[in-house]
Amino acid sequence: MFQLRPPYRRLVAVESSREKLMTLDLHGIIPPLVTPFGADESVLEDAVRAEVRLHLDAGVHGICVTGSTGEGASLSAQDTVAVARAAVKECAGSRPVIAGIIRDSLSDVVRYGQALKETGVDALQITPVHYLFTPDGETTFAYYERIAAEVGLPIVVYNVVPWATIDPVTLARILDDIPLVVAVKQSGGDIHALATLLHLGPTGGKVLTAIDDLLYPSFTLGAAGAIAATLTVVPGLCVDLWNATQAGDHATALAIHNRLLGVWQAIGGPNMPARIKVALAMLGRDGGQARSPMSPVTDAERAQLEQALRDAGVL
Amino acid sequence: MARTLTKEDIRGVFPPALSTFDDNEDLDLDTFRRELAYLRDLGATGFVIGGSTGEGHALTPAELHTLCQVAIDEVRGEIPIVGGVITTYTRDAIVRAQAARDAGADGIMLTPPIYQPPSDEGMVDYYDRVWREVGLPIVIYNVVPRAPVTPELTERLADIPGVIATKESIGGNLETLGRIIESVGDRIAVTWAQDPLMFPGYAMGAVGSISGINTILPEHSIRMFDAIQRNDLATAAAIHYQMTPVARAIGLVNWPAGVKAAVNLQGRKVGLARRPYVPLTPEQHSRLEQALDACRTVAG
Repeated sequence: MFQLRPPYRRLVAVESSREKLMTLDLHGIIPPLVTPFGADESVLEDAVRAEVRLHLDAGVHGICVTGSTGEGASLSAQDTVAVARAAVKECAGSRPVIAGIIRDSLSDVVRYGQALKETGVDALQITPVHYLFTPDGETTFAYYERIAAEVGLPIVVYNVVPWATIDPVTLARILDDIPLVVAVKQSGGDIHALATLLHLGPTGGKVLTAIDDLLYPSFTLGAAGAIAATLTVVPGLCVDLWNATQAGDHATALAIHNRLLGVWQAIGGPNMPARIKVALAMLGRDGGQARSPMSPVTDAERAQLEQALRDAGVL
Repeated sequence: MARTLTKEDIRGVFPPALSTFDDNEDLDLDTFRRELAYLRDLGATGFVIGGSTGEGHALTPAELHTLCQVAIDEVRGEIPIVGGVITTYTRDAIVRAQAARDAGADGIMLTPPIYQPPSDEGMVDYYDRVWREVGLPIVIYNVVPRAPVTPELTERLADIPGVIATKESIGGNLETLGRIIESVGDRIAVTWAQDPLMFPGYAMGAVGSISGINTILPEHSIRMFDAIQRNDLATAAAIHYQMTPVARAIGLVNWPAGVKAAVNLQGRKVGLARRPYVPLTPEQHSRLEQALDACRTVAG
């Protein structure tokens, strides 16, 4: 298992990055939005803005675009900038906007990060490199340190790739020792790693959860918020879950947890972006099409989605 | 395009070429050519450009184009050049495959989408659409554990006219290799690419390999393949036990850096991997050096 060796070495914060960091508050329900595409797979910016507006009206605490749910791995730097710009405009400073970067080399990440700088996004959500062979902890630390130095925007470390996981000790060190890293998003279905990370108690940034079927337990363990696919399907319910948990109303929170579980089970797994977009269409929203090779959803999957949304009480 | 690549072309020891970089991480084409010439002269049956060993995940489509062009110029039609396509979504796969085609490559080697797994239908659509849009023969590259090309899927993909071969790597195992040889071995070339298990894969009937170890230890790889072809299992096994400690010492963590270190240690200077893959630690380096020292002379 993980070797726990606190306390961590603390570096003196870089003053120039402090001002931005002082005002940035990432917490609560931060849904990762879908990226609506037209039939020709181009980005539909108006539909992006409509989705952002819907989430703001639902009372979310922030917006995340171009993550996994947003098919970020399919987006060119230009597409990513277009989506981020649309989201920033629609939010108009009312809530923080995070833009995702899912790339496989340092130079590519820096290229996307620099392109995103002008959009006014508040932070970047960045995966480790993840094509088959993963770097070790030291190398991953150096990777985020380098991105921070070259791009200069706050960073959310996106620990999502099942075959390229970053261990909790390394995550805590990244949070504590790289001033521009403001949060970690712990995904990959591993609540054990989340518990270990929260137990280590890094003070240099927030720990967010992306364990869709265990949001309620994540919040009770002390996660500062969530960026998870379920949030974009049923943002209002997720805000209610967050509020109930924060108020210590566990009966309500548990009831909401049980309504949410089926939603995740219906959208999770292969072909996820396409399934989420079908769910949005059932709810009367325009998520557009998914990009190929995401494929049409089967009748059985459609029926499961419909049932889950009914059980959740949103359809 | 000088030829139409067929299943008969994908055989033997078919090394995935290293992409070589200078200190700024820009392409170092002179070194790239030198490596290709070296491996060709040893008896390589073809090259994949921009595969995993060639850090295809970190190349732009334009760089893939350049490397394919230089490779084609270097081999002058003597052996096939296949472009690696390692990416996330169909539209980018098409852009990369077109870059390889426009450079004159004979085929492409295509992984499943490497980040988000599609459904089985999506997987078939991926290979089919790239074939229809680009028209270059395709080698399936079964290397993504979370998006495996199962034997059932391989059978479906083998129905696509452009699919001529498969490279069974860590998306499968020796059992799936056997099932694929049984089910589609008469229609497509079934090759094998798990560095620590080349010997059993060849013995089961894989017709060749496009594996990193071919580039790391080319002489050993060729001698082992030849030994299997003449049913000399004792020699093949002896070479196997020379090669596997090297594969183990490289490991999978930080792999691109390990591969280049192994090649550099043998005197073929190929520079470093693209970041974030960084040079090995002194301990890793000396472990690798020991493994290489132990197999300096090819057994048999």
